[in-house]
Amino acid sequence: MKITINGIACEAKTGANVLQTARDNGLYIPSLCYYPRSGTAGKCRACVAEVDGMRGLQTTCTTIVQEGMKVRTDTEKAVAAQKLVIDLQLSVGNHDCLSCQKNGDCELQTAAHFLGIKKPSYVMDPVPRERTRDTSSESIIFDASKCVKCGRCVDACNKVVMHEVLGFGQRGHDMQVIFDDGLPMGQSSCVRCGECVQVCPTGALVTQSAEGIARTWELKKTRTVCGYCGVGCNIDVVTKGNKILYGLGSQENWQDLPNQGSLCVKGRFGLDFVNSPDRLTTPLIRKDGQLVKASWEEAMAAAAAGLQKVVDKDGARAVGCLSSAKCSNEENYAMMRFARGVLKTNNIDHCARLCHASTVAGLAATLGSGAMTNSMQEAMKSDVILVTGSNTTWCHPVFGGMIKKAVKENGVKLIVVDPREIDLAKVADIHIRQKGGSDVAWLMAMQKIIIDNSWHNQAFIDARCEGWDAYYLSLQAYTPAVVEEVTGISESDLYAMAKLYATGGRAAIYFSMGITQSTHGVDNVKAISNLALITGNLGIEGGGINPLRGQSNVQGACDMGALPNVFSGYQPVSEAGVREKYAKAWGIEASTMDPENGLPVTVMIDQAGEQIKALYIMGENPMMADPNLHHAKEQLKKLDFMVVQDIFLTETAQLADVVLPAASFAEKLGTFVNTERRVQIGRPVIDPLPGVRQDYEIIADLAARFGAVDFPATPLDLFNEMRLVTPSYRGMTYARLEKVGLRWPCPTEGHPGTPILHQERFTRGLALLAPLDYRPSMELPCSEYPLLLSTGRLLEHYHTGSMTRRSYTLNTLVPDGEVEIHPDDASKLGIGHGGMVQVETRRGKVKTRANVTTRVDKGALFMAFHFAEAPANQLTNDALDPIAKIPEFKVCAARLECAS
Amino acid sequence: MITEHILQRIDTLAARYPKRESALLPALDMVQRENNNQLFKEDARQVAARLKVSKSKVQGVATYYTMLNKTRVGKYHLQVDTNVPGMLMGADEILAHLEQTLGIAVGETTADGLFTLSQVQDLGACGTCPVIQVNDSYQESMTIAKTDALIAGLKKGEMPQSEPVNHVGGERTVLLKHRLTPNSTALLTYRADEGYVALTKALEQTSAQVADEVRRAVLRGRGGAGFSAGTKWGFLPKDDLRPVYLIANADEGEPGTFKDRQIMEHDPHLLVEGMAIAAYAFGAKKAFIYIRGEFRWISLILEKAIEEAKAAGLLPHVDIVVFVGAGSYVCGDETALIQSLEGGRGTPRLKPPFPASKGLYGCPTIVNNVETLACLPFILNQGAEAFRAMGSSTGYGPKIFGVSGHVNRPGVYEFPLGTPLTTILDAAGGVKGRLKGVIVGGLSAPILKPEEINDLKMDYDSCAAAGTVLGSAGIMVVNDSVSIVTLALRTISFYAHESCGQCTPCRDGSVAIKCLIEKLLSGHGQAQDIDRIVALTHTIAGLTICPLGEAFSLPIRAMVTKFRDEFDALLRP
Repeated sequence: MKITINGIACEAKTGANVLQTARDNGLYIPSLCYYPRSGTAGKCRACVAEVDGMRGLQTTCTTIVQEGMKVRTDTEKAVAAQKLVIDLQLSVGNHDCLSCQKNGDCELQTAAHFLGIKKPSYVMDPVPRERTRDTSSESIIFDASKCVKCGRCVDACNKVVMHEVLGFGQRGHDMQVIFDDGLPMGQSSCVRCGECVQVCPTGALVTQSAEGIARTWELKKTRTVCGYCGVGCNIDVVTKGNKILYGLGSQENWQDLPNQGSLCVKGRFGLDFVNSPDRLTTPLIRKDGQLVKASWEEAMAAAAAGLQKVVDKDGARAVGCLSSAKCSNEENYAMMRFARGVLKTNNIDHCARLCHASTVAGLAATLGSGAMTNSMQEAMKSDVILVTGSNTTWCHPVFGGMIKKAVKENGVKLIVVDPREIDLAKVADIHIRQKGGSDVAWLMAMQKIIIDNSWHNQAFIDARCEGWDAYYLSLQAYTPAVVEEVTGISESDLYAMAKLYATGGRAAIYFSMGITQSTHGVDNVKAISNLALITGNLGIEGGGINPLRGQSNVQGACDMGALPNVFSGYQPVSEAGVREKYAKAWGIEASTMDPENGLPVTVMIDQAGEQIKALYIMGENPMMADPNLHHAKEQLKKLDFMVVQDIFLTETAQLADVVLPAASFAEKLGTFVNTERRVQIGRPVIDPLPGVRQDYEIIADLAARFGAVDFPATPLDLFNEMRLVTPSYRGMTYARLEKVGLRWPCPTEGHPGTPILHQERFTRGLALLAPLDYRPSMELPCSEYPLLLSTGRLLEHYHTGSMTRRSYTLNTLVPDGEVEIHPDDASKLGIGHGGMVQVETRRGKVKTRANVTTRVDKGALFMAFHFAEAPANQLTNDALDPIAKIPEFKVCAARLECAS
Repeated sequence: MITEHILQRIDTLAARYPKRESALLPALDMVQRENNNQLFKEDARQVAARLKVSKSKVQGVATYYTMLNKTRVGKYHLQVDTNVPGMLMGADEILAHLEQTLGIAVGETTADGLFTLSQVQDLGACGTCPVIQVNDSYQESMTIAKTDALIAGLKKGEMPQSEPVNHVGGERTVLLKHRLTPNSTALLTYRADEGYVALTKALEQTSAQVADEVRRAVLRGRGGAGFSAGTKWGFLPKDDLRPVYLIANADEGEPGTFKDRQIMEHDPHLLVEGMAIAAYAFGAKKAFIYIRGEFRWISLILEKAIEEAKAAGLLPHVDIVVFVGAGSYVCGDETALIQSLEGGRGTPRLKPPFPASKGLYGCPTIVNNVETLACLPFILNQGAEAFRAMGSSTGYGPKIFGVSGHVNRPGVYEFPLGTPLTTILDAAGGVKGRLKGVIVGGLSAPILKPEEINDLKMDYDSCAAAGTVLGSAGIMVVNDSVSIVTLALRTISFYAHESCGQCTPCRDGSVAIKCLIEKLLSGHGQAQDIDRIVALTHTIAGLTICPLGEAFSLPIRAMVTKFRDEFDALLRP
């Protein structure tokens, strides 16, 4: 529709407010409190106008456009009001624009400039500056004397990211932003997501990292995709020169982005590892047992020669390639092409083996596709959400906030099944603490209750599923008494959970490592699949089975065929036709390709020195990530040759024969796939550090040394080749991915992408209802090792810590590892909070600090695996799921003693 | 420390509300009472955890309301109301006397921990000023001698009986009919005079018929805005599945106003019956009385009345809960009241949406003033025509006029709307001393000069025509012993103190005006400062979220423009 503002015809969207419409049309109206992502506040009263047919002044942020509406913001009355508001704000504050970080990007300054206010008119005793400056947080500075009390930060904290830390205290003239119940910000429960900094219109909330460093016009913002978890947050990375200062959630098209403009502490303040002095910038070659600096030519020649030697002596199958969930699709595709098309081995895998191998195997068997069926934004449209085995708030923080928002603002019912009292459990309608490793039992018991009460969706089962008889028969073993014994969940709790999930409306399941990292991980996933199938919760908006992927491109690495059994797009290597297609695309003879599945990474490590003689590792750190590290180290030492290309000299790189310094995610162009199958473009935000090379360049160089001289060496060439051989990516182009990405499958260039899978039919046709027998975990507590140890991630750290331990904010927030232990167990063992303890399993001993907390249940321990000083994975069990070959990180038997 | 027993009591409180968070304010109040009237942070945290609200929210609430004591207070908390009626009637002298007697300044506690002295804003006892609130009870119509007796008594651990000098008069046909009846709060007394007959009649009709009767009576809201109650009810959405709530606004806090209190304290069943009729008319199954925290003892009278009525089977269709505020004038705004009742800071909401479509817990809600609701039994009993027989087309029905300040018989007087102001002033014993001005509708009403009141009829339209507002009909009479500049400072100080802080013009504009008046009084003022005050009142009025901006802009502007010479006299030569 059309409206006029100050006589200028403006195009307006139905339902939009006048202020937004003005902005969309390039017109400026002074305003302070309006911020689209936190909503209309209507508080500052600066954006007033006279509107034809309406009495008095109207705040344009609260006035909804109507066809033909005539708005004037430039009348004497409106300008007087605008001036008064800005003048009062300037008068009560202490605005030192000359040295303020926000100089040039301050909404108060802009308004004062626009209105021609040279200096404040009113004298109202501003609060002394020293008293109001809160620098207690390592990442954020709060200066109350620059606060305009617009409430954007408070709304953002409470209604957008849902941390509920900020609020307003006092009232009237004394009103001020508070943290918790009036603590300094650094001592409050603030998680440093920095959303408040991003929304602040003035210099009241700014980043420590940029204070005194740069003025706004010296900064550059570049949009890319975050390099941490699988949410795939779009970040505008703020840089000065070639240095990263902090991140901002991308605002352009924010409503259609996975993160909707928000970030967590890692994406906001944890990107400085890219500029760490620890970055590798020179290739290294092992000489006389020592890694010494070498030229690129020397190093590449050594890498090629070392691999060639093994191929010549033991054959291509003696070489294993580890690709990377941190690298782009293009690089994973390049690695896959290098392994299969140049070396001619199918021994390619990556760390998805350690996280969602069971999901891929389980869902491939039941549905035909192992990815998230629905998208994150649908959480708002669910009626019921079941979260199990996912500490979403820590591991996928922005999405964790979205679930919390769905619960608190939309009344979505939440069921959390997790042995720990995770953050989401606090807002859940039902929180159940199951015994570790008992997931098949409670999931199947729920299904038995659902079917016994006829809450299942018979029509859906009849039309779209098969395998009922065997499935139904297997369910009968899950009687309440048996299940209560195994899971520790009472019959009434099971009933309540089953009833809510099955009868509450559209129900979505979100799960993660708590389900997958188990010797019966595939069974766990199948049990989840069964649950969604019998209730018809697939192929619908707000429903689905949603494995949350943990790395920025773990979905992409799988999609690109960095797996031992499939090419890109999950096309089996065992099919001759598929091999022929790739052979043709790569200009090689199909007959030279290996027709048999390769080895998964866990088996490659186990077979080191036997079947596997050499490893080529790109951006992976098995020496921290794998279970039973002592064993892993022994195994890696048995290799004849190992090449590692990485951004840091990781624990794994330290064992390598050749180390190649690679560019980080922030220095490269390429596509990344988030947890909801959304393919997005990552862009370089700084120039690669001098001395490093792009992973795709290194692979192409290596390929050339093996005679593949026409190996594609740019992201675009790799992507274009890839999409032609990958049906689910066929319709994607960089141009189409530019704005908000596309969700696969996207078979043609006219296809809009697929937010919801399995709508008409399942990838495998009919879905399979899987009969399941309960098997306990391999190693349960016993008299010798009486506690159950589980491992996972923290909010502030990431994976093996190679990145986050090198971030100032993150490593300052949490500098040490610890083991969580229940107060009852702690007091029995005479252990105090913060005391040093030794955690021991059959595989090793680790010293760390005790965190005495009820977050863990009695009899349970929890450790994060980020800390090289206290590597949890020296303790974990390397027993594998028989199908997915995923290790049982989540359950092993441990004992604990005081170490001080 | 909060005991398990207290935690259970918090749960009991929470059970009274559709949402647990609503119990936040009552729970904080209860916890404070358990700790010698001090709210400890650690206790507030436990309340937050029990009610599942964030620490910042509980702190935001705890620091918003003045009656939650974040610091230690003495065994007896002496709170002297020095707002305008108090100022006119000698409260400043009482306060000064207390400072001298106790040897402490305002905000301090005596060394023996016995007394804390506070200066507070409007206790709703304007006719019986000066008033001192001692913990939960009022000591009204105070004199220096009575103050000495109070202190002496308290030192011995004895609270003297308050001896308010209440004048009650006028026609007293409806609202003050039982004001002087012995044992007036009892159900038996109320029923003896046709009590609950109207409700019985109402329940025999359809709810639509009841609503129609009220609409035909043209009952304009008695809270101040004068909006027709029947029309307001008509804004409730039809065929809506959400529950409908009724709230009686008993947050009487406009300086000069002490009318609702007369009904609740002395004729509580009149309100209860009115609410029962209203609830029936629009199908509210849950109703609340939001009463200001200072009226705690009145809340107990109301609770008792509700219990009695319930026990007598008179309230089968509605559950009435009394919610006690904790010190905030703005909570008299219906949306701020709703925020407060939901367990939040009493900050007004943006309108639209209006409460009738989205109010308490996001549900359709009607907020009516106590006096408005108290008219309903008469309307249902005698009919809309009888109601309209009182007053005229500029306002029908009876009205309580509270008269305070410089009159001989300050008190409450019931007359039909449209009664001449002079008649009311005569009833109140006439002006003491030489009249300087009259504020006819509570402190937010622009002051009238003597020459402006002669023909003034006390109804909505006549007051508007005279350049003021009927408002809450709290009449404050000012004689020539008073400096209008001082009056203006007292006025703006009140509104600045009560500003919720949400919107810039009110939060900072009120303080800007206050600072300018203080500058004038300090002898450093210049003519442009006076112009600036006037300019501020013009720009702020209508610019704020709730009517508070107008509530101080209009009276300040009237004082400055009508008594400019008094302001000019302060200018630096």
